Amino acid sequence: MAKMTTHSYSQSSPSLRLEHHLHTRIFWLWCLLVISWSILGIRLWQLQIIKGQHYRQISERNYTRIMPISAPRGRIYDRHGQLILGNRLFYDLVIIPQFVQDPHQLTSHLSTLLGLKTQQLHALISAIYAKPHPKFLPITIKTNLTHHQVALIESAQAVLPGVHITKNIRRDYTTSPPPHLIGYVAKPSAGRLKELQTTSPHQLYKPSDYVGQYGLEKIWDNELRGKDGKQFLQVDALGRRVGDLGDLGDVSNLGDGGEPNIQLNMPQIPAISGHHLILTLDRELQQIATTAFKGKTGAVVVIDAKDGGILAMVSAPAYPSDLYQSRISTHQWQRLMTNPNQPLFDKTTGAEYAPGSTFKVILALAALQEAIIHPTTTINCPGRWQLGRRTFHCHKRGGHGNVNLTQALSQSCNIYFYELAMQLGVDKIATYAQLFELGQQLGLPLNKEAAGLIPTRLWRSESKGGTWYRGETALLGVGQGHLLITPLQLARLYATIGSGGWLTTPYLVRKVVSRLGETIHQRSSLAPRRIKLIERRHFKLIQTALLETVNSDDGSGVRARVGDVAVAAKTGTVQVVTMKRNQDRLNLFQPQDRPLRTKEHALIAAFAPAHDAEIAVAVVSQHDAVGGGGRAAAPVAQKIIAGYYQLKHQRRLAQNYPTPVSN
Amino acid sequence: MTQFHSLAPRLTLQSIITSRSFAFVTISGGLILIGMINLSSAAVAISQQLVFNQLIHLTIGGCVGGLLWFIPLKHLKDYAYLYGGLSLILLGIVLSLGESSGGSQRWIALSGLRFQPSEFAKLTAALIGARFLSDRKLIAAHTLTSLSPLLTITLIFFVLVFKQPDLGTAAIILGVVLSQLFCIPMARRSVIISQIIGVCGILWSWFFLLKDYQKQRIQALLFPDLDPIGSSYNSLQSLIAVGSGGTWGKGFLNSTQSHLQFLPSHHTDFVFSVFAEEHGFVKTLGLIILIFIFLSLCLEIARQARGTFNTLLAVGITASLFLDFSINIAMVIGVFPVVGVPMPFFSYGGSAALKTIIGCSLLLKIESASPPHHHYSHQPVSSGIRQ
Repeated sequence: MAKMTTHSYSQSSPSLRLEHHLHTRIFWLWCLLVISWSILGIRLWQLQIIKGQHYRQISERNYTRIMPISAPRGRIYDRHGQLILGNRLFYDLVIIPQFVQDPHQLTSHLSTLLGLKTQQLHALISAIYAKPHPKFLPITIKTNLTHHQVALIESAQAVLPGVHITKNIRRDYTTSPPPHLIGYVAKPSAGRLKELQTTSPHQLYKPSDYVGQYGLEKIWDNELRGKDGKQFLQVDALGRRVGDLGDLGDVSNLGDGGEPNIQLNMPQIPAISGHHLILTLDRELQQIATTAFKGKTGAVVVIDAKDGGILAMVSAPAYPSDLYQSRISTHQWQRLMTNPNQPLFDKTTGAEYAPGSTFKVILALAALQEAIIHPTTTINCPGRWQLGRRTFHCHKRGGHGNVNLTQALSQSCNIYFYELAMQLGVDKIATYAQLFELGQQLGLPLNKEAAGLIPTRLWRSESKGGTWYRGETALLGVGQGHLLITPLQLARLYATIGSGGWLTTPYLVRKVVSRLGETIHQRSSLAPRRIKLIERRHFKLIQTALLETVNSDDGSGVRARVGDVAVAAKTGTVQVVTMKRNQDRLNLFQPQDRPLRTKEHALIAAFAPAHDAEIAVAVVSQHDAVGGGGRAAAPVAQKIIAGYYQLKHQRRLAQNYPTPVSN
Repeated sequence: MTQFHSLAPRLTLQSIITSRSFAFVTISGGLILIGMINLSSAAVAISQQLVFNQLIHLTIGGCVGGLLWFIPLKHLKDYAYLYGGLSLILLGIVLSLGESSGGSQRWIALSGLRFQPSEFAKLTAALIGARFLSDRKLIAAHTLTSLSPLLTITLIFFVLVFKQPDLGTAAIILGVVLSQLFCIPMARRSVIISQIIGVCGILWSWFFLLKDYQKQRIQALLFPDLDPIGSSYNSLQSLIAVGSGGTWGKGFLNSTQSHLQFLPSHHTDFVFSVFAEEHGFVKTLGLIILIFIFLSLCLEIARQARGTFNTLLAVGITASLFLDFSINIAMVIGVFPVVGVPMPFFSYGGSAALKTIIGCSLLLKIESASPPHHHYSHQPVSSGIRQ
């Protein structure tokens, strides 16, 4: 046809030739159409068929955002399966910026409803708006709302677009767990966050996470924290969340016409709860110990003398466990920080005290083993003792007269032990103290642990310089001078004596159990080691002497006597500060506290039963207003040991007569 | 009566169904319907008011098209320069005091109604071209000298629209006149010279005429992955929309790209991507074939038209439709830079809808004025083209 057209073109009339030309050219235009439409078709095929999957993925990424769901932390149980620390639901007030219409109006409404200061709230909200923040992510304004506040907010929902109440699972401290032991969770500081990220790179830590910062919460954070879940959200091009708001509830105040109506099923990966800890602690005994020690400053440690498991641990004064979770005020924080009794400090393992007379058992054992004395050896106590130009006094000014070892221990005669100390010498004393692993950390993974101090000549020349004075040796006899011991070490020392020389390793966490009940970790029980250097009979003798301390009428620990239980104990009273010498230090304290500062530390270390100890108790009460070890500390130990046996009795009864099951 | 009798055999059902007019009206109507359904999905993220508005636009377009039926084509030919002049004046007004929308001035407000004179300039340019080229019944070929008045007018059109700035529409106006020039015989020397001028013009415009953002769009087309957020954002989001449609699409009303507002202008310039995303390759290819048939029909109408003016007018209108469709689709699927060219029958917009319907009714008018059926009735509809 094209050829024919050209042919006729040369012969036909001009108008016909023009027409043929036009037709040919229109044909060419049609060819252009065919070519361009082929290109479009091929390109469409390439986009939708070949790269279709690729673009499908991109489009899904486009509208998908991830919001973390925080996992509930694992619970903490005591040895009998009683809950020490769990979780509960908290109500938080959040705003979702994408729905907020008027931030100023919002501030005024909220401040009237919640009684917050407008300025404070305004600063908070404007700070939030200043930062680039995904519009769909809720921002927490106030945590831990009361039920009354929740009701107020919900009733005012209509005038508060963008305000929501979220439910969050957090630590529930209503079980009043021991604060120092449990520790606390807090949002990590930048430094701590970095540290966490380097130590456990597989765990994803976010600045908004509550992370264990102290106590068991910190040590076992990896086990307790669980695995956060993910909620996939659908967002639009402006980053606004679309559709279902899930737990955040109310969809009714989504925008009108402009709101995209498309909703996709977004997947959710549920959060997995952390592992639970099963402790050696006895919740009820812990409560008894806390109550018994109420009002005092210092520490109580109760351990299982057979295997070293910690039954109770009190460090007083305590701090509120929820201090980070409930955002305490700066004023409260200031008071905690400046309190001279250091409530934030765990004294059970971290504080070092002079052991006082509780140290005398070491000297007695050393002297017996070194055959310096026999059980019957007596030393005359005239009430005063001369060393060079210096005079040492016994606490009984009139003197005890002739005392043997049992009497010396039970009546806590100082002169007897000055003598022993002088005969043993500083390095022998240190050797025996070190047999009991004093002066070194026990390796209890909890809070900062102090080592205590057992002085030697070498220590003197290395750390302090100068030579060891004989007077210093004499002071060791009554557990003073440079000697330092932690309450945990004290309890463990008496557990060793009570068990006849078996050294145990104190521990606190018995088992880590997953949420499904599988055992994750179990403490491989470290077999107690026996102190072979000291003969068994010497221990027996000491046990008897300590039993006398409690049960003979002139013993120093009579206040620790418990009915038909053979309680053995040693009291200690430590003079720490005198007014004149430590005037400067005393000025640090409040005037009303000052006289108290001059009071002695009251100590007692006890175990029961005397010849095959089950439990060992150490009580250290700083500057006790009541008096020395026998007056102030012994009643505390008495309540704890009595409580222990009562609980044991009750539990045995409950075991023998189980609750009848109906049907 | 005799006249009616002579007409009677042509009005059988079969003749109506097989007639080009019928096919043309059916396909146009089909495209309008598909376009409206697609717009109702694209409008979801904005407002259903758009669908209603568009219906009004179409109704107005139908009325104007109906009125045109009563105006003889001769009248259009006689007053072609008048309409052209009016169009130029409106374009001038837009440039001097038009409302700006999205950074460019394409709108003119007439007592509350906004319309875009540049859309109508596509039609008036076709009218002027057809008139000018059919005026001189030259046996000898046109030369550049003889064509210079037309070229000058076209250049003025081009510059006025380009200045808005609207590169796409300006290029289409140029394309309309070029398609008409292509159809008429021309001296060989002039063809070569104009080709040289064309190549130089393109190079010159790249270096001196195009604005940076226009160049960026062209670069974005060539390397779409270089800068996904910046200049090629629209292009990339459009590719994602089309590509994610896959073989069968996400389903009607399920376009995530448009409903979640990742894709800007998804109801106007990028409306085709909504169709491609929701309906997938198979149906989109079907739509493209339908458009191909429609444009082929337009060309057939041009080929069968009576007289040079009618033919060239039909060619001009077809060229404007062809360029609108091809540039828009090519832009959406990333084979052409992003330029503001709406898709006929599909994009939301009064002026474009009005222009498309007027163009179609003019084509229908030309078809009805073409020589009677017996001239081609023994041949298949498009046989003249398929050779």
